[in-house]
Amino acid sequence: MTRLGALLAPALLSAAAGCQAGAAPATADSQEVAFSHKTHAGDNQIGCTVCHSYARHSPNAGLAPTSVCIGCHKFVSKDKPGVQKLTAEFAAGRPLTFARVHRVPDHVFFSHERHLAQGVTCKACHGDVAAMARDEKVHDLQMGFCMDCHRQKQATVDCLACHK
Amino acid sequence: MPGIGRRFFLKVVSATGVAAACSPSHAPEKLIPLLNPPENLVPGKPLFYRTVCRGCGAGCGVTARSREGRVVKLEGNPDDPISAGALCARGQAELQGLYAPDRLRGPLARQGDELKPLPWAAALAQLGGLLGKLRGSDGRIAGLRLLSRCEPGSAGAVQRSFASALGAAKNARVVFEPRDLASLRAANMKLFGRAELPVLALSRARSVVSFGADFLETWLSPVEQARGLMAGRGEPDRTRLTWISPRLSMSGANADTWLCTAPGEELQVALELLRWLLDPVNQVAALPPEAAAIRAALPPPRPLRGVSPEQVAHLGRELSLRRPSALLGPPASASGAEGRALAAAVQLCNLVLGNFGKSMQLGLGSELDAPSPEEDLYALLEEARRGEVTVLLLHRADPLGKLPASARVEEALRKVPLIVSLGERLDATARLAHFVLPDHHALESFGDLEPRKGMLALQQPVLSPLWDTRASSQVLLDLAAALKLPGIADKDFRELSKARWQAGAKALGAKLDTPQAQRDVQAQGVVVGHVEALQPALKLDGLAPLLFTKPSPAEGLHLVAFATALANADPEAPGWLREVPDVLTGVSWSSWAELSQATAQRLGVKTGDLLALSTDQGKAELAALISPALHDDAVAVPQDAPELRALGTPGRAVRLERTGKTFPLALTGRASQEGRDLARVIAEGGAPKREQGHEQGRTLVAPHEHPQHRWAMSIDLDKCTGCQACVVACYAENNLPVVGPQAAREGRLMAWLRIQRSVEKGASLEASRVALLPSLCQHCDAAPCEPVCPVYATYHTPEGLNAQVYNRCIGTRYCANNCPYDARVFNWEDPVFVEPLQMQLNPDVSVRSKGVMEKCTFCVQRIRFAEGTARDEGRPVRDGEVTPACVQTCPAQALVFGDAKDPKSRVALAQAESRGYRLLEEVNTLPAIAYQARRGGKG
Repeated sequence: MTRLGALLAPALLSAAAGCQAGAAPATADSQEVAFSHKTHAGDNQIGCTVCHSYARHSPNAGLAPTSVCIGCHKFVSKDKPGVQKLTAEFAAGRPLTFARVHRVPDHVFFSHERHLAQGVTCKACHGDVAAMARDEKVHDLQMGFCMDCHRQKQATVDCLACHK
Repeated sequence: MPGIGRRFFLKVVSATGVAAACSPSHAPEKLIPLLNPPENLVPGKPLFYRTVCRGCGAGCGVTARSREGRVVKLEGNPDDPISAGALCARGQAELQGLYAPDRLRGPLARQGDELKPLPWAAALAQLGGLLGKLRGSDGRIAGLRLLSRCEPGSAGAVQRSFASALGAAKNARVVFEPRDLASLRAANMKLFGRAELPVLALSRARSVVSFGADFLETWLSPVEQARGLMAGRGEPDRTRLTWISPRLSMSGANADTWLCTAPGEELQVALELLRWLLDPVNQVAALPPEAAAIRAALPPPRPLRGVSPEQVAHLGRELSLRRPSALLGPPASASGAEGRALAAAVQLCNLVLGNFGKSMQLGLGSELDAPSPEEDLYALLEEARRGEVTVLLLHRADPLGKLPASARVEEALRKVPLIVSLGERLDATARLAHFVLPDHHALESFGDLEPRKGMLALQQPVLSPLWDTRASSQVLLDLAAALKLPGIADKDFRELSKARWQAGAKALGAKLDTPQAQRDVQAQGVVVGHVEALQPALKLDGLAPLLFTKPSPAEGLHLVAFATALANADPEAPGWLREVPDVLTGVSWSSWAELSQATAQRLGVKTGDLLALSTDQGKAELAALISPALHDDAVAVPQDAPELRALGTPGRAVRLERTGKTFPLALTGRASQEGRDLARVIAEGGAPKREQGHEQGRTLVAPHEHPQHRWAMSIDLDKCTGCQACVVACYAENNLPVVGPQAAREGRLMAWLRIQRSVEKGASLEASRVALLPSLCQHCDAAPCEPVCPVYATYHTPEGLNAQVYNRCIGTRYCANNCPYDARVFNWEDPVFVEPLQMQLNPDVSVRSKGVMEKCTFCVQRIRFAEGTARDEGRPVRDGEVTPACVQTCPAQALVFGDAKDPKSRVALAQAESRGYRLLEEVNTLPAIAYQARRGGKG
């Protein structure tokens, strides 16, 4: 194990870097409105890409533009405080913001498009969102999580597939 | 690895203590959705817009790549016949002009000694009021003048109607282009009655002769000319180039023959060449009927100092046999009667050799908005000094910053009571202005121009304006409306431009029946019609006085100005053009003065000594640089150097004194191959010799399997001009930081691709050669960098790339030490992208941080993009579909990229060529890059 010493330093450094890269996980009360995936994707069976409409065509999945929210909420659940806030903000020309739950570091070039094209389900990384009233991170989305799946599915394990 | 697995080890270490010590104190990141999704925009996917480069007068078509509303890269427009998909270094750097931190961010108005910000409405109201008060009883302002750069399109039309509606003087509008080839334009006027610049088709020329015209750097249309010249290179009967100048510049480095004239002697050489061609003794075939009359008009011969009659005769013989040819000149720095005479002599040679209509085309140059003769500009300044100019409007014109000090521009400007500057930045002239009304950048503007006859280039914004700027043409229309100027009905410049270009496009045969057809033409970026070149008729009257000659300048030092492909000496140039070192000298970040070795020795000057230069016009201090390829009587200064303004126009005698001080020039690279034959030249029919020395095939690590692709490159040294467009494209594509002069002095430039130079001394100065070698990571199959990395941050990918994983790199720099090609660069500092330059960063490439090693990736992000597109379309990647940024932008098409596993790919065919060799082949690194040796071109 002559490489052990050489490995020690990078391990310490990369562990430290890994900590700094991640922002704090979002909690229920850090969200501006009490958006529920359970209501939307679960109870009402709205497909993921209705709101995350770029997921099949782009590395970025995208969030529903406020106008898409309004498309339904012009008619639906107008009595809910969250919807009222949404409507007011939209009328004022301001988007609602959401606290980010899932994030990979800047040096990772993840593509939703490529994963969906290969039949990876949203659930595989994001968990059963349709059952979540409040979003939670189910998987850590560290490299080991990615690699486990890549190995299992015999996908590429080339570093440059994700790091550029 | 047996025993403890690496990943397991990392998990253990990160789990013990270190992870616990970090407290995640960052607030949750906010996601902000769009209110309304913009049409066509998919976040994460690029959009491409076609527009026009306005960096110089060539008018290259551009494709701008935009991501999430920011333009991140410029490339040539493949449908444009001028750029044909390529772009020069300066064109690439237009992007840094757009994001320049010193761009004006809103209108300014003078309050006492200071320029203070003012809202547009107030500025325009104030200006309109002032202009209104100055109008005479006829509604005009007698002292109104408009000074503009050349605008061969709607912008020029708006300016002309504004100046004629509000101004009274006949030449109320003066077109000012400091780098215009005025001598050539004037000579064409005198000789053929056409005050236009030619369009060159160098691909048809078998021999090219340049009288100091830097046609591969900045002269006329460098991208098109590099493509044309190099189309005839690489083949056995290749296009020959003769360079006639006191200094071997980058264009000259591509020549087969250099005739080193004494400074100012180019005219004599051209006249002697013309005399030789016309002399019946030499029996040149197919002379035109005017030959005898031209011969009669030639001035009496004078002895040449730098060039022998035999050399002239040799060149004459070559040109009489190798037709068509193309003779080019003079450079932009040539001026006055002498410049005109040189241009006339060159054009007469072209006429005598029958080059017109073939390689040298007249009748195609745009006649729209030609730059005004110098006299008009000087008349304007004189009027200003007399106090007759009451209003001076400047559109992207900086006479104070660009004209020589002897023009006394400041004195003239201080007499003008109202100066309005419509530009992009606070240049020297704008600092004296009363109103500074910032214009959009070309990449933020609508417009149209006629780069040449029978062509229409369409300009459109590729991003929303960054700052509170307004199109100058719109400002003029707004002022015209406020002043109710007669004859200007248009209110909106975009509509005006659209109507104009649509009329022009219809005249060229474009179909614009439907809105979709109109959008298609705009998306194409260019409309190309067909115009035939003319056979110009020579006007014989006035020929003798035009071919004016004066005795060769006396011995002694003379000032020579030369153009560079980059702009290292120009303090206003963007960072990329200042930092990427000049290809022949290795200088970045400053001006310099070149002396020949003999002259430097005679004067006891060393490189880096600060010299005091003085001419009859003024003085300047410049750092000395000893040049291996310069006439002993020349002191050569880059034409972008601000110091040239004080010294006056080139050609004059110059005195040198040592100041006793030194200047820390930022110099990169050594002009030597240290005895190794890296940039190879082969004689006609020869093949490069194979280096021996190490056991063949014995590699440091085992070569790899490449199951699908083996990405590879081929670099043709017979075609590479050394223009460094590739280097700047690499900076743009790969987020390379500009490190500044101090780090450059320390050899810490971050370029992944550089052009190595080496000077091979011949028996004489003229026999010296400069060999240029594009040098980048060779993506070795048996890479010496890989086994020494303690953390596996560098490795060989299944597609043949030598990969560098930044997030894994710990910066031991072992890999750089072990790389025989010096291809790796280390981040000594965190990169700095001064606001808003960070908006240019390519989101597909990591921004590296301090302590990380990096190098060429063959633009892996572009490979992945092409692979992704191919996969979406359910087909294999096509040959030529993957182009790294350097290959994409190469004007000479010297670089070819592709899959070496496909035996029919262009790269595989190029690599198999007999001129092919690999760099340091004897060390058995098995590089993915093959070079093709330059042809000696003798005979």
